[in-house]
Amino acid sequence: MTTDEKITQLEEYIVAYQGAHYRLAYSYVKNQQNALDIVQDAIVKALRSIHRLEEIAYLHTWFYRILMNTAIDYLRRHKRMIPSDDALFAREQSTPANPDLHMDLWEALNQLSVEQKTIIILRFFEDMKLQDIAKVLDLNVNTVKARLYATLKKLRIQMEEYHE
Amino acid sequence: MNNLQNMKQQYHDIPLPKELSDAVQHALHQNRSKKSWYRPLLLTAVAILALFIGSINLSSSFANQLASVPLMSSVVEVFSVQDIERNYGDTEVAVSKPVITGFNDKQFEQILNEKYEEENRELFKSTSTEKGRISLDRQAVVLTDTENVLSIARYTTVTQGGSAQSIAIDNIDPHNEWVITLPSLFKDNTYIPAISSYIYAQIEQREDRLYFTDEEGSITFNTIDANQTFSITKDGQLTIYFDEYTIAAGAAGIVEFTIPTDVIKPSLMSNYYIK
Repeated sequence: MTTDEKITQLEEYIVAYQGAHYRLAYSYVKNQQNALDIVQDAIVKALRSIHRLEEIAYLHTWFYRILMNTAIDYLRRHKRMIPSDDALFAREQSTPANPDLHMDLWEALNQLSVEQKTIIILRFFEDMKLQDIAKVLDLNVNTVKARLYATLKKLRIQMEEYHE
Repeated sequence: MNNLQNMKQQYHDIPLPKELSDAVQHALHQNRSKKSWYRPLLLTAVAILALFIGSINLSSSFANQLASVPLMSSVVEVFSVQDIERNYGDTEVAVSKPVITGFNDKQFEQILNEKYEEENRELFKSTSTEKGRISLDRQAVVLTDTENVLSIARYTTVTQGGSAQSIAIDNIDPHNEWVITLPSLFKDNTYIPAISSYIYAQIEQREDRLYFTDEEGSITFNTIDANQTFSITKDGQLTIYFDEYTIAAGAAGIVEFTIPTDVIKPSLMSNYYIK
């Protein structure tokens, strides 16, 4: 496949999955403008390095990897600029119908690292296979499995605490 | 799991801003106008690959054999090994190093191999502190592999806005196990003006006008360095190299001149390496 053909596929993919990409970026930074910035940065990076993607079948996991790394990079660079009370910020941003339910998601995710968030979101919200998540994180499947269980354990404990 | 179901619903309820589609289109478009940025890089990679294919059969294995020189007591082999590979954020790094095996003098072998490793570390360090997008590509190529001379080149391409290509070459005598330096080929320093005036005359003759000139239009190239990058061809001819941008415009890339042996004959120490 030529680089031009890969670019065309990538462009189609990006347009089709922009919502999913935005939601993942948003869940890292919980801020609309920052999430848009990350999505844009990731797209530019992906287009620039698409010639290095040997197997087009991995486009999806490859792009998620770029997206996640872009977000990590962004968080590192803008550490001080992102509001520390981001849970509060998130609630203001998306004014949910049921504030209590909404709390579940953000309260839970807030306790997790970027990697843990990624595992939970991709596995349970995006229904991604563990094998594919392993590719996104560049880890082996068993490691991802172990981290998923550890994260679930952590979440469950926190959720119980929250409901008590 | 009920909680996860709730969370999933909430996740998919994250509202998509109306600006998203414009932002995505903008990012896609931004790239289109900048496509030229990585095209030259690809071409460079293809050009270097072409150099490889002439001498060896590229396999996708971890280490590519670049040369194998059978000697009386051993076989000296050179491999290209992927050393550093990063594709992270604005940085794109693909660096290979040559690895030499088969010398009797293991210390000599180790010094060379450590040197190649150190070169890559230094290069990587210098680019990782740069801001903005940067791409670093380094390839090991064997230019000559005879019993007398093993010329090992490292082509470095740094792309940052524009791209700059440079070359480093070690000429090793695999039989005697030492490094051949440019001054060591000659009796005295007369080789410097002899080679320089030959190159000057060549530049004057070339009509592509890529070579740098001063305000009056005279060629700015003056003299080679005493330790100018060089290689020895398998026919025993001396070849002199200049990095991109040192004596000519970028379009010329790395510039090389093969020096006819007659030009340097009076200065030559012997005709053991140069014939």
